[in-house]
Amino acid sequence: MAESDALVGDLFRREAGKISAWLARLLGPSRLDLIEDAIQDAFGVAVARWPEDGVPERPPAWLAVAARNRALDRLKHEARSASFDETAVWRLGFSDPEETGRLDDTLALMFVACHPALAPDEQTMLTLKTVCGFGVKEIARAYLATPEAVTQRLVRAKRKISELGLRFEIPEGAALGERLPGLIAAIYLLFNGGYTTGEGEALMAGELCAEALRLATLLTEHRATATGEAQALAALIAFHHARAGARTGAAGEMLLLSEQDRSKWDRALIARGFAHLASAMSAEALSPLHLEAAIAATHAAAPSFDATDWPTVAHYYRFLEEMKPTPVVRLNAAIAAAYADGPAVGLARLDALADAGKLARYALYHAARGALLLRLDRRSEAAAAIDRALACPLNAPERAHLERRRRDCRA
Amino acid sequence: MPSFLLLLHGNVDQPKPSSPDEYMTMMKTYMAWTDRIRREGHHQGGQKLTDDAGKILRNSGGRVSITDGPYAESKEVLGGYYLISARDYEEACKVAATSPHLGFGGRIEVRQIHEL
Repeated sequence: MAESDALVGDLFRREAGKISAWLARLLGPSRLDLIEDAIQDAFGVAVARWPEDGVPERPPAWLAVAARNRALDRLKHEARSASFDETAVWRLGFSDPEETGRLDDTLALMFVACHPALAPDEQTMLTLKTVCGFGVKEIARAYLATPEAVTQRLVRAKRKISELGLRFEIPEGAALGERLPGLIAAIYLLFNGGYTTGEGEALMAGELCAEALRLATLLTEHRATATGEAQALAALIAFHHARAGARTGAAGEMLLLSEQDRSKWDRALIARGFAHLASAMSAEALSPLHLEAAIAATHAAAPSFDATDWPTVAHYYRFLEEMKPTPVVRLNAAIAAAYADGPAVGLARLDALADAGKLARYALYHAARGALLLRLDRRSEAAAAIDRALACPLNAPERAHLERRRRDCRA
Repeated sequence: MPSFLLLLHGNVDQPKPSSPDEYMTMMKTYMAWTDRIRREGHHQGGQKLTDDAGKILRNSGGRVSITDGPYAESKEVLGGYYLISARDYEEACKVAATSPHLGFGGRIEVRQIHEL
């Protein structure tokens, strides 16, 4: 029993997204709800029957057939209405359940889930649900929301998709140029939510990053979507995700770049990052993502923290700051300047940012000021800055890290 | 293994399923058959065609003329096709003979693909 339960759980994620994309092509994106229910039913049948009947020879095909049959059952209700279009039924009839997992279908589903008519968090939640096969509970854990709230967001998102009457396709020509940046932004947001999430669970955060990497990589595998920006996104996520295993210490505390054991970095993933970065650089126009990826690459290439090429990092940050002068970018640019040109320079730049946006409520801002003040041996000011950081929203590893820092101020 | 094209001819005057339930039952029968020939390794592909006569193009005296398909007069339509693998005509016909299409009043034309 337990064995086939685990198998079903494992299979679900992997296959649910593929089956969703396959059925969305056959039935259209306005039926995402029906498709989701049909897949849920199919997995329910698997959980109930496999322990007794045994696991079928090819579980993915079995699940696809079961989901398709459930979709047909559910279409029966629709068929009672006068406006019913029989072609959906025929498409199911002639469908090939061995054909799930086509890249074109998955990308088309990503374009649906990341439609600009949806709010950014609706886009990421719907992507996790339909493309990645996450359950509502998992999404709720990732975003520290209640399952009810997530369900509500998903219902709204799917209703909007139905109302839009979208075609299931990878946009072409000018439409592709309009839609691709939104899709890239949604994957970036998914990655960011995983990487720097304030409060979500650490384990889920890692899974969000892994999914973001998978989706960004898919973009680079299709002729239509493998733009320089998509390559830069894949590179950026690969570099960051390569450090996942080194980011927390034995007690779960967050480790800074300077404290990480670089032998724990995933070298194969870093190599993938450099391959994507090389492809990204052949693009005509540089995007902020290119610079973020180049900065991450400079860190990935450094044999130790002290050997980091800070002038190069600071140089890239200056460009990035021009393209994308957000408070968080300016904060990071100031920190890079501190390493390249000394803590006093960095501190002056941080102090100049005191009124920028919501930085005063951003733990990293105060933590960075505290670190620089400590390097300048202004201990009581450093302690005050770290206290302000501790008053901001933090996840547990971040808090543990800052508390250690706070003790350093007294030493 | 050779490939065969199964052309599913139907008659537009054939009574259509009268209720959604009947319609779904018919569809499930087709689907179960498709799944079976897939399991048996015969199935390569298949599509439903639209319910019209289609178009015929001819070159007459250097001009291309376009007319309605061959069955425009006779109420017959080519409803769909399957591409299957079989050892020979005998096996292909054996597979085709089990198709629910025959039970629903249709005809099946079996043609072998000329392998190069």
